[in-house]
Amino acid sequence: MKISVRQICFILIAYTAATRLLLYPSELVNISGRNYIFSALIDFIIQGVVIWAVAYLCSRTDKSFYTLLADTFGDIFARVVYGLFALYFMLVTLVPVFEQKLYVHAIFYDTVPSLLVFLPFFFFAVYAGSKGFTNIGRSADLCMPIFLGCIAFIFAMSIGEAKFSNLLPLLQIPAKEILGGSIATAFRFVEPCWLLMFAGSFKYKKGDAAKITLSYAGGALIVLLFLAVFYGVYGDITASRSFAISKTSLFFPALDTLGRIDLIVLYILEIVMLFALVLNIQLAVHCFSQCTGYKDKFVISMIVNAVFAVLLVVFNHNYHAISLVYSGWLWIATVIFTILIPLLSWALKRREK
Amino acid sequence: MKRRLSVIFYWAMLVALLGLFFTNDFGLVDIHKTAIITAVGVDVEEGEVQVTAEIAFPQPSQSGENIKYSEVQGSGLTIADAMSEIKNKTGFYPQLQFCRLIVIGDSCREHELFRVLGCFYRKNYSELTANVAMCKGKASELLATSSPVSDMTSESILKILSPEIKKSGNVSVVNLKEIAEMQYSRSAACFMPYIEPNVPGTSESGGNGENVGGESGGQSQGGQGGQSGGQSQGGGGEGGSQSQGGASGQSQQGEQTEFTAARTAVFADGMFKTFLDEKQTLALNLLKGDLDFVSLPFDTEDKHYSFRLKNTDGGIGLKIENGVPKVSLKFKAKANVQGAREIVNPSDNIDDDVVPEAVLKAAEEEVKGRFINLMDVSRREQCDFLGLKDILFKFNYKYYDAMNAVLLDRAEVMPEVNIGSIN
Repeated sequence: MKISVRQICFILIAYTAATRLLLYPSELVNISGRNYIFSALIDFIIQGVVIWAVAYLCSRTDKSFYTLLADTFGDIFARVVYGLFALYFMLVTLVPVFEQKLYVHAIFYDTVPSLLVFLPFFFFAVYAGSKGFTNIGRSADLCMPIFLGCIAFIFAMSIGEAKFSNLLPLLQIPAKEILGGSIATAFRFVEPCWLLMFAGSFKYKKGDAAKITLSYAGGALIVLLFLAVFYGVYGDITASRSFAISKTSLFFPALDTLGRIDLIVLYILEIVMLFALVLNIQLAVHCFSQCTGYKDKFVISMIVNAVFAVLLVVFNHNYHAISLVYSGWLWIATVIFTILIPLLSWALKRREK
Repeated sequence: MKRRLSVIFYWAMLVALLGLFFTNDFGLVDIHKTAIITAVGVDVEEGEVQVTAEIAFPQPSQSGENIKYSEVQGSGLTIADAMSEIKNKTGFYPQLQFCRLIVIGDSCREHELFRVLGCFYRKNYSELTANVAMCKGKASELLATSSPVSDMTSESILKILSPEIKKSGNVSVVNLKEIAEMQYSRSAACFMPYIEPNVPGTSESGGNGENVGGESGGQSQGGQGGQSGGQSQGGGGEGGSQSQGGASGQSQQGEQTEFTAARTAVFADGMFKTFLDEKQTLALNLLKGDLDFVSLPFDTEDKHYSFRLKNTDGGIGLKIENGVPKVSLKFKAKANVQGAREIVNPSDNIDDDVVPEAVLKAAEEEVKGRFINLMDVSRREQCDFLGLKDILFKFNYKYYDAMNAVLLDRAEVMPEVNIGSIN
């Protein structure tokens, strides 16, 4: 087996949370206001149910998603679907890549840095992208303790400054705004697709579906708690604070005398964020490889990353426009790829265990 | 073949990375080119914002003093314009990560506060951690004064806004984030300390931070004449108000100046409303903060006492009963006698921690009186600096629409003060 259930659980805890700590909170609060936690909760519950369904499907078959498709509809169909998934993974990775670039530029550099300082990321992405599920699992083993240590440190520095009464009154805004937040940020929810891709690559044991679903719930809980702390710290001016993870601990009293020691934690946390970001690239490469039958993942990874690099250069100053398009339209792709297809995969021809 | 390609690729990667490092001079910073903004003063003149940046220039030095400070000024329609002018004058991109103090001059009273400070709240412009204060006279002149406390003027000002002073309740220390939180809450009111320069060696009359002789600016004139004579030098406590631009004791370069921030400037809807005097400032902080080492002076029928309050806990509650908003201003603390106007008998000092009930009652009455007075100011100025409307919105939401507009006028104040003896 290429990946273990433990590693999948680590991915669902650490990467689920790590991918939602930068611009997600401020974008969400911009739409849903002080009740933004409920918008996030709606998305997490829907995705959690799908994750449970996919995990449960894995208990009923040893086949990979590709084999399930091929056995039911034929090899060509499976290739087409994997091609579409590859494009989907690339599509949902574009905004996070821009987000990382903006974060690195804004937080880790004193003055206005050039685009060049972020481009070395693609050397890492090309290398990591060419690796398989075994590598993904090992990276998760490495990232999990780092993530837990860092997030605990950030919470410890922030929670004392948070006034949770800022979140009151609860549910006193129109349901439209809460749902609006859920829909606009839905494109950031990809986790069921991760699990679908891992299907057949791990050995399912009794109770693993619960473990996997609970791990996702754990990741979601960290995000929800972080959102509560973030709003608790900034109250009604939260929407103007981007890169949330770097802003919540700013008012920790010791920083006055010690300086920004929280930046050390943020640097370390960046490792987890990069691995989480690159997971989608790895899965896009995997899907392209399955789709084309071309086994040299290194070449595919170079092509995929070259596309990202070109898009990054071309749309260097257009994050806002891209983000508007994503929040307006990409929920459709999310519904198709992370909800409908994973649920419909129950209808595929699976060999009973 | 694949192995060879991979080796070539990684060599290329190494060369590219080295190239990137070289373009950054290995990230080294030439100390001669470094300058850090440590404080910013903001004045408004003829519709233009005048920004004075106190800038620290680190100097290469083997030992001793190695930082120079100077003030550079820029002006424009916004703070960003003024900062841009500072950039042109100094040749570096002004960043505000190390800016720990923002002082706004008296001239800003005429203008909407968040129009003046707006730029600081733009995305990623500043971290909102800098302390904010209003000052008597011009902020530029305040930053240009020299202080016996530190070479860096902002440092000596920050000493009177320190966390320790905040804990004592004598100064309403706030930062950029806190004033915005207050302003953009349902209460739409905020406050900040008011810095006044004094000539060293002089003090305000009354002692214990209590400006007994001076006029309390918070009680009288709405927009303008809040300047009290309480800060007049030599302890006279004259009641005459000063003209707007006047900055006594701060205009002459080289003359040493000390600073106090015992009074508090309050704003409603971004506009300056009034000053809270020292007593009102302490009362406000007793309600807002988690304090320690508070000094509370008060009089009983026959004696003047000064308590030290510890383990304090304050808060504001709001209930709507039969259509009447009832505001409870709560405070509890443990006290011991720190000073009394009497001849000290060392053998009696052992009883300092066991305070007679009658004295405790007098202290409670003093605090209750201050709370009621504070609420009166809030009502008179229609300035919700206690945050009642925000409490109404958060905890009594169903009454918010009906009560919001009349809350301050209709509120029934119920001070709940409990001061106990430490032992």
